[in-house]
Amino acid sequence: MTYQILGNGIGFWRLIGRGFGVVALLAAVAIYILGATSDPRLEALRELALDLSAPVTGFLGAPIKLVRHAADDVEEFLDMAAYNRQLRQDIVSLSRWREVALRLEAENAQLRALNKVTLAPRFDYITAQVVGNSGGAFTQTITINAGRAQGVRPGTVVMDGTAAIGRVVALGENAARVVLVTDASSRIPVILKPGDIRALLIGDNTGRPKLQFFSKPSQVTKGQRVLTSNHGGIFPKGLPLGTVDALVENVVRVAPSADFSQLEFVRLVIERVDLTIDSDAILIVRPDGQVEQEKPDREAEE
Amino acid sequence: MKALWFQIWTIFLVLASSLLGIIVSHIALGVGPVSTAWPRFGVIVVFFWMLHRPGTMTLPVIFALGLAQDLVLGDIPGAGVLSLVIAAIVLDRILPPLRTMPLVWRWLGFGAFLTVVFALEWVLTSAARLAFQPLDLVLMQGGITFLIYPVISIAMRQVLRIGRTPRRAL
Repeated sequence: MTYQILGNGIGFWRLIGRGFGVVALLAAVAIYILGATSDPRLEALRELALDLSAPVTGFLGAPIKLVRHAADDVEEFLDMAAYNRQLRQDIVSLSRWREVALRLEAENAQLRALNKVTLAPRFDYITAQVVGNSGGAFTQTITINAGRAQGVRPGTVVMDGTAAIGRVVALGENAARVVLVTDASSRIPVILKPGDIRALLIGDNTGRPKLQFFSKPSQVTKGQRVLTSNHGGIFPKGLPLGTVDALVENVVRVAPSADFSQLEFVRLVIERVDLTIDSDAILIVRPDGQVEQEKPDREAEE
Repeated sequence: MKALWFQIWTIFLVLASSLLGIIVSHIALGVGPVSTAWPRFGVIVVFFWMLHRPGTMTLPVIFALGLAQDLVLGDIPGAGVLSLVIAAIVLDRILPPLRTMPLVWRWLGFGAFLTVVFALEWVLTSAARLAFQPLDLVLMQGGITFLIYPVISIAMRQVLRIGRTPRRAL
């Protein structure tokens, strides 16, 4: 059986096949429009893909990572003399910093005692393993094996141990996707120290994100530390991000403190929800720093 | 009956290897800009099956695999799917003659397919983000994916022989 389309004979099954092809093309256009506008209807699909792919990626990645580690070990072995020299220099430098840190710690303890301040820990931390990365040239994201079940929430800040590296953007039950500070969609309000210069850290998919919109542009110098400022309300104040690395053609670049090539485990900064204070509650600070709220019995009062 | 089992085996092989290719592209070998040194296996596998099993790797299947790739890799959903589907439609005419040609010609055909896919993805991602995306990373990943095609193609040809009756010696 043949059908005539624009004068050309075409078989029935071929016609059906072309029909499916047109439907696939239209569906792809529709999904692109939904994806480009960040439509929340795609979230369920993203969550499903995260939960299904994360364990498989972790399993398949294990032997490949093993080979990579072996190659790294060989490379390190070959560079051992240079490493030793570098480590000796670092030890001398760190010994000086240790003295400074001890002095500041003592001073801090004295000041706290004078003010009778008991600080409750505002954040909890959980550790997760990096099981996947974006694998693409257009996004800089990682997939971790912790999700809603472990207390992760959208926007949770992720650190590599010392420096902030990104925040959670998509969440599954046991996996989450983290957009890195180097991603082209990343915008983080920061503060440069010393100098207290406010700026915006903008990712552009390169290894060194750029800084823009300075409060005091003339005071920006190489070597200044870049810290989160909490102006966006997502990143807590004072988390290190990197240092001002270069000022080339009016573009200021930042060298991230985190080593993205060695990222295997990350630390998630979970804000403690139990610290949300009821306006009528009495706040009790225990000597060990734990905070409790004693809520008034409203029914009994009524 | 044997033909039916062979057909089921082919469908399983095509889908399983394509999904495996997508997931292997997602393995964390270092993150951030370093990750672009890892090829896009999903595109390689999709092209290979388009060439050697066109009856199974149809547009709806390409659509499903493209969507899976976008969701797994965390790209803008739709950009990868649309690029793959359009590239498959555009290059539909050049594929049949390539099937019987030597590996070098199939490799060049893959280069054309890859160029269309990456160029479209770059345009679609730039349009969705309202900013031109860096080209160097795209070229780097595209180059590595292109270079690794012959290795994957030769390995996949061996997979293709599984389940076939071996030729008898004359």
